[in-house]
Amino acid sequence: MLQSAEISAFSIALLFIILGIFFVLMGYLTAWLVSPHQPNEEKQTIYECGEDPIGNAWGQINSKFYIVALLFILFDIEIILLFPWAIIFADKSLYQATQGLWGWITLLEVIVFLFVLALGLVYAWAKGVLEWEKPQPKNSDFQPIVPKKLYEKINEL
Amino acid sequence: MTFFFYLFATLTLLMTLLLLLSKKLIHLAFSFLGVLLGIAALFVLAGADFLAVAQILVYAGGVLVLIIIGIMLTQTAPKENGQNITSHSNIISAVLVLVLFSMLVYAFISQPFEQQTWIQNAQIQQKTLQTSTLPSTGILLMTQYLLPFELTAILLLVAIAGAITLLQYKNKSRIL
Repeated sequence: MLQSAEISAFSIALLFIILGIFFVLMGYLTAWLVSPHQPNEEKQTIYECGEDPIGNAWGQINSKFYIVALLFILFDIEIILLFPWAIIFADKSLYQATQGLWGWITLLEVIVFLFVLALGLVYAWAKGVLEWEKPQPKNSDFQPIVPKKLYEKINEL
Repeated sequence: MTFFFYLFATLTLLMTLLLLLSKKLIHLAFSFLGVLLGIAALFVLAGADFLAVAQILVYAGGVLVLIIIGIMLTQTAPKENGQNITSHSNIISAVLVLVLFSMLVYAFISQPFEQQTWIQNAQIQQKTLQTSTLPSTGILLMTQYLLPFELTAILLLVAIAGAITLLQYKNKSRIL
């Protein structure tokens, strides 16, 4: 069916995709067959760890996620371009044909490539893109009437 | 082989139709995932294994995530009728699309594929589909196309700087 060895290697990936879809669909099918269909308002609410959901699920996310995703794509492309290099970097026949020069040349080329991109990472770091603003916990100004010593006494018991 | 080509081509076309006809942005993003995966499968069948993996990693794994995050960033609660995209007929865009489509079809038909030397070589050697394209891509990137390879790094650097500037991190800088 699939003649070439290169393509048939991908048929394993296809098999995994088909199996993945199959298992998800089978889960839905079994749930649909087995479960009783008696919906009420309580059951149809959005599941939020068992609590009553607060607000709308369509809330806008932090714009920080967007810049992180942008940086991710750029370094994703970098990784993709390193794949062909990683395959041929330690190639013995190329190594012997150039008396070992091949390894040094390709290593240098990739170091230049990575250095330029590392500059981008350093720039992002220095600009504070990688820092995540954490919400500061606010201490309430509640003063308990019960002194702390009494609590310590209870803990000792 | 032919069966798989038609299977994935049909899937890709169906997903594209779904993309064009969907009214909700998030449905659009997920049908776009189907389109990208279908195109990746077509790349595999054409013997372009590196391109297929790059397609999945960069487009399905990166660009699509960016699109979905963009939707989550800008999306407001859906309206009563569930329509978020206002679609109105536009004659100019229809004419433009038709012109572009006919240009692409003309370019494809007028191309003498049978006479191209690289296609003839591939037909004679019969090795194109049997070997991975990764080693030859790597050797070409390291020798003949070294300048584009290094320029890609600079392009990505500019893109990083542009992305940071776009989101205005000026005020929060500590060092720069």
